[in-house]
Amino acid sequence: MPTIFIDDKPYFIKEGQNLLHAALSHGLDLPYFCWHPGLGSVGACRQCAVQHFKDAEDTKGRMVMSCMTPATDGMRVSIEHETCKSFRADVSEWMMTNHPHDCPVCDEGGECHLQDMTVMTGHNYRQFRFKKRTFNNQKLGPFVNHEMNRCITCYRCVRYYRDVAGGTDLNSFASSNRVYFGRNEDGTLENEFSGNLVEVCPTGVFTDKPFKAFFNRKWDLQMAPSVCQLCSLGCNIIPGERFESIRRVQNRYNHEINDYFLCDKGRFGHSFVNSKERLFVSMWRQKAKDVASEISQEETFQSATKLLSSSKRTVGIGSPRASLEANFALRTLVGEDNFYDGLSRHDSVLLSKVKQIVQRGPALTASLQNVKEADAILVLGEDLINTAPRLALAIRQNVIHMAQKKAAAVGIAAWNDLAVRNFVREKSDTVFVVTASKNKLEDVAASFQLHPDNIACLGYAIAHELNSEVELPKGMDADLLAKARLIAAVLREAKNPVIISGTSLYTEALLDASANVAWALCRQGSSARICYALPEANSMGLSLMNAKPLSLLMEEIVASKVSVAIVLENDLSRRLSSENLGIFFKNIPSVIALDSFQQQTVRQSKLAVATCSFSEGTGTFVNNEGRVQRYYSVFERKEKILESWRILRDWIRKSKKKASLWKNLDEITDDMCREIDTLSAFDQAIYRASFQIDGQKIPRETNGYSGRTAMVANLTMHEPKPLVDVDSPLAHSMEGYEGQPPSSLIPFFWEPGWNSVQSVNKYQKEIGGELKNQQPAVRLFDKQKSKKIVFFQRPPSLFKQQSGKWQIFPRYFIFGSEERAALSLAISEHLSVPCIGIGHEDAQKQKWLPGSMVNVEIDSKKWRLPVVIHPELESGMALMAHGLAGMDYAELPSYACIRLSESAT
Amino acid sequence: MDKPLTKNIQLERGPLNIDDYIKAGGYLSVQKAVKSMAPSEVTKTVLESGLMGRGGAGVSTGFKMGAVPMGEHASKIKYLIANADEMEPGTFKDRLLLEGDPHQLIEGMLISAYAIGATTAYIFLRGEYKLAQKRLEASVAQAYAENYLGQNILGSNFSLNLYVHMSAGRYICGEETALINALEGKRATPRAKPPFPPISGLWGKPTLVQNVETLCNLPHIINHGVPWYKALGKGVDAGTKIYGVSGKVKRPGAWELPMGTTARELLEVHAGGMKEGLQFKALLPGGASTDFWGSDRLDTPMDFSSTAKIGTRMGTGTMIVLDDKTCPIGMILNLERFFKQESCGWCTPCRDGLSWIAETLTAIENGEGQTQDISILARHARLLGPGSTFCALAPGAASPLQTGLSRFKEEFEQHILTKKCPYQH
Amino acid sequence: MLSTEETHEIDLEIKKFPYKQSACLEALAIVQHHRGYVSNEALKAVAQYLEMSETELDGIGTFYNLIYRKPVGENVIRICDSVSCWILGYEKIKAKIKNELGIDLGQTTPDNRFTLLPTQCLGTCDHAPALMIGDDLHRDLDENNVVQILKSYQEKRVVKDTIDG
Repeated sequence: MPTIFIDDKPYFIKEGQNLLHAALSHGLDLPYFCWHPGLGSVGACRQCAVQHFKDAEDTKGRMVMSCMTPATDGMRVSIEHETCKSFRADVSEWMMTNHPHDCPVCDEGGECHLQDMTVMTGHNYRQFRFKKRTFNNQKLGPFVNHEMNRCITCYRCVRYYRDVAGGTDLNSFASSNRVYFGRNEDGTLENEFSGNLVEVCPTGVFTDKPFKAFFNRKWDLQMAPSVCQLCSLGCNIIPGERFESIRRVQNRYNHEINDYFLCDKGRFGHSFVNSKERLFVSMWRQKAKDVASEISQEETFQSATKLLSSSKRTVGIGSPRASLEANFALRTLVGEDNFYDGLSRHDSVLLSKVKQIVQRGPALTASLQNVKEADAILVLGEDLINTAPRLALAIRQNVIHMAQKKAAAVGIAAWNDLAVRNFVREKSDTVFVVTASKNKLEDVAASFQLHPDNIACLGYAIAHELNSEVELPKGMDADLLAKARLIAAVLREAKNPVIISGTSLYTEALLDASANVAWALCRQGSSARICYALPEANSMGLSLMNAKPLSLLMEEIVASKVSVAIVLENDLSRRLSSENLGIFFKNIPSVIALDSFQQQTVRQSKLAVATCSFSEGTGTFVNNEGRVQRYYSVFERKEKILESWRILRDWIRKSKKKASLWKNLDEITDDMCREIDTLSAFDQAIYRASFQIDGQKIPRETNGYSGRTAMVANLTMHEPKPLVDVDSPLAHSMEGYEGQPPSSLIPFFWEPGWNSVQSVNKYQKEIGGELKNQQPAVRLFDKQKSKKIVFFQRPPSLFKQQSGKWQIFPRYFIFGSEERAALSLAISEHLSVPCIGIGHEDAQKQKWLPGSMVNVEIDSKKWRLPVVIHPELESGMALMAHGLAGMDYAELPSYACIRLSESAT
Repeated sequence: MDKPLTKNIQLERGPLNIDDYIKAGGYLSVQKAVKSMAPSEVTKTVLESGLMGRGGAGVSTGFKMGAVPMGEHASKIKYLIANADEMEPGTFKDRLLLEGDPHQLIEGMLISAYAIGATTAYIFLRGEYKLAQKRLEASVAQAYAENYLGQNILGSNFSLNLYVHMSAGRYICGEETALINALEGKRATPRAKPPFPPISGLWGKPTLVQNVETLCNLPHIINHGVPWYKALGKGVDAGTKIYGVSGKVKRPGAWELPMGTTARELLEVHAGGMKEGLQFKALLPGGASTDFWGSDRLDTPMDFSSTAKIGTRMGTGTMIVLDDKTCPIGMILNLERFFKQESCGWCTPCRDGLSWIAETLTAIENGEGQTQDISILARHARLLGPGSTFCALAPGAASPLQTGLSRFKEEFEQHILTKKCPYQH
Repeated sequence: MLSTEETHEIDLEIKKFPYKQSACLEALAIVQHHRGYVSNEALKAVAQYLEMSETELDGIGTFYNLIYRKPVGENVIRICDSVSCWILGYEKIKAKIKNELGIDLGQTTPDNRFTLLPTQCLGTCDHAPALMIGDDLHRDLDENNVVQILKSYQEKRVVKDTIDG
């Protein structure tokens, strides 16, 4: 292992690192700005200067920028040498010439990298006596606030936004000391990952706008390790609370998933917990048409248990967005025979197919890290930017990773970021993204559009190329076959390819085709992985519960004589057609709905039970790869609301006379692991409530947390006793273990001298790598694989247009299709609107223009929607907005008539 | 005395067209190279000639050409760029060559392109050089018509497309990697080196960037050989040099003279000495980013080796003369303001340091200087030296500041003490 | 919208490069040549034509000295303020022009005839002080001839081929 000497001490390093990376990896304090572990080196800010010596005799040395200097065996450098040390203070001084002295009122104050670094360099006396230059700020939309006067011109924002996230509407303007970072004109940042600017910016230029509106000091937030609730990837997040509201969400570094970056839905979507639609009190409705009235928790308990005790048959309807524990509690209450999945018919079928593929097939699932490091990627059908945004970003990161590999051939170091970009100019030749409509990866990947069935056929053809056992679909044209051959050739050469697909097009053949490709590759001996974007955060978890499909219940609902249905954190209007929803309520006299916010099922139910949200309760999700992750309650409300599983437990205690059932989360967890085979490894993923370090719990509050008595001074003069958390090793307190907890229990990142998000450096074994106290991930499908491969053998027919009809597929939107995210204030300003997308050819033929109002008729139901033109869409198919508020559920894909609406556009 | 670079140049009559140029011996070197020399021989000849880049840095041209990967495994696409973005204040030598004899530059580029196997060449021309643009474009068209450019030049396998590209204006474009970014249609911030352009340059392909004057030397080296070329220089360095003098001298101008001509000869003989009533005070030997020389340095031979030996630089060899009636602080302010404006804004010391310097000098010149200003300026001059900044712009700016601070110490102190500029009336 | 002439000229520039976006600065220069400066509308048209975002294009354009994003007069006077011209009397020439036209640096005459801008060294230091009006270079200026030169532009837009008038 190469060794370098820093201030005469030897340090082992990894081959190919730069000096800054090496020094930070060893926990040394070396200030920097333009460098960022997710962005590489560019040498612009000159803050990380160190002294480099020829040999042990050389005491003068030569100053070099550590970020731009390869660390090589035997190298001697100094961080403490007077020349570089004073130069680093000079760099701070230069940056401070124009930086406002507004730290006490600045949004970034207290977690500002510039503050930290200025203190670290020791610059403290201002000699610059001239005017500071000033700029105008821009309105950049609901997510990100802009305050250009604070800029120190490190270029991180544009490098992140353009080079990593692929945005085109943020740039550097002008030159000299007038360099400006912004847009051409005011306007909402278009990129789906714009929120990361808040963490990428080392000071207060780009800050969290929703947080600013309800601002409080960062050290006054109560925080807990959490998991994003808004898609199936399970990105790790840190929500921060003050006065019972979630003020903001920050990225929680996990090198296997989201590393340094979140999508905007994940960052800004969770404030639905503060929404006006929140359900804090349970509601009772005697008759269907009555106005619901508020009832207490005790009354709720009484009403529910009364309904249950007199029920002939009670069914439970689970939820892909409720925790494993909640679903399990419901299943326990109603019994496995009466437990339904609460999914739409298609979702049910698709999910069980996914489960079958990942559980039984030879291909392991891919984490985002696997995607980032894959040497070939094939996306079949899934519109990732809208259904699993962070996965789309991971593909962009993969393209960068592969470019670094190419540049290595001429001796360009992977971290030499602009050199890599300048050297590799072409799109990736190892990433293929085939979708129904444009996918926002066109700029980096080989990409084209096909009808979903044809994408599946392409997948079959690729698999056929790789293994002739797979049937070749009939009638494929030469062009498509050539594409299949090309993609197969690239995949064949790859050692660790990843095949990505998903459920959002409601096309089962896509799942089959992608499995075939991955398995054909496995057969060849490659370690191909498979990755499916699933509908919701705990879709995979729900699929492990052996729930029956909701559609089955609907089929037998008249005969089944169900008296009570308990709907767990689920809005059935998103799963059933309005007709079926009517049938559901008509045939089930008592519908009990548990949820944390108002939605249609809650509004229609006899008993609506308020449950706490993820921010106030603890639970566990299984993400799309089968990774088990627990999210911890951030805070408790004074008017305590229980988790769904506790409410259901109370009902079980009463109805089954088990008074001491599940006293805490550990107990239900144990039961669940016993009962559900697949989850037996589960307990390795979590820490029991009794877990302590040095006899202490892990505090959710920072050392600087203030106002413990002042916050309640209107009620009492005394400091309230800290709440006891019986479910987790975390404490609602600023007191407790002050060191670094295990990775899944980190409530916030902080180290003395490192108050900004960059403090994550101090938690990593190696910069950009795993955390020091990294727990091994529990991924449920990594074992129990059969080596036997049975390919799927029923390729669909190539799509044939039906005259006068369109085949309609759902179109998801990052902002709007997720019901809860849509309730967040910031996202509600950014919602997509209902529409029907059709191809250029069809639009011309029909003489429809963008915005033309049309009636979309599926069976007898009509949707009146404006037309959006997707030039690339195949003729004869259309994309209908899905999941948006105010749109009735449509059973898709279906054939529909589309006619110009008679009333004016 | 041989004046190979300017032998065809007569300002009164405009440049030679291709026929007259060929009659005067033009394009012979291309015939010779393409028909009888391997590319490696051309590079070797240039290396042996001792030609050093005339853009100011003085790197061996042959060495730079030799850094371009050759052979089967090398990229099929390579680029040659003539750096005609003359913008160093006080420098006006390339304009002479561009306007005076455009075919000479094209010929030089053909030699260089042949040696490195370039397939496409660009002349990156200063946006303000409109006359040069017109003349170059006309000459390029003539060269295409006579098959000195285009496919299979002179029946050989060697092909070259050449384009004239006008800069959108920025001093930093003179830095070769910034120039490459500008040519790619990007913001012209310099690139980190390594990788050097011969490895990864224009659009990531091997690229050689050469100064106009450098390229103009190549045909003559190929035509007349190494010994002849070496003998052109007076001292250690080979060849001739376009020297120039501006400022309040009797006959400002530019002349092709043997490399190693002394500053005194330039000033006193060729420029005719100072104007009536003025005394020589100091000079910048080769553009705004060189050190101030006083009369103590007038006998220094103006070549790369001699100046390096005494720890200074010749730069572009076109000197700016300061007389005793012009305020040296004002001159330094003018220089530093230029550098401040032309900083690309990429690295901190240059972007923020130069504005501080300019602010401070403005204050001093306006009679608002403070005693600590001199130490602030001195600190900056030291901090902006090589190694602390991303490219050579700021170290260039530091050169006249640092030497100015020591040479004009009294003037600085006088400005600050008397709270006014003594040169203003 | 770009005019046919503009697109034709831009197309010629695009041919010089492997990527059309590389011609973006020429494209801006072309549009500026035809319209005097690059308006927001022109920026948008060029960006669309080159398949770039306006923000990308504007970020590049604003880096350079010769792309004007604000309207200028028919004749742009660019007076060299670099060192040799400064030594040889730039201040006096500038004062004369300011006096003559009644505008300061960065301003345009009310009749829209002239805009006065500073420029960096024009590379003609042996004939300092110097300035450019449009594409024409004027050198060896003094307080008298500069007035004559300005007058020659008062009447109509002058197109010249040679270095000096």
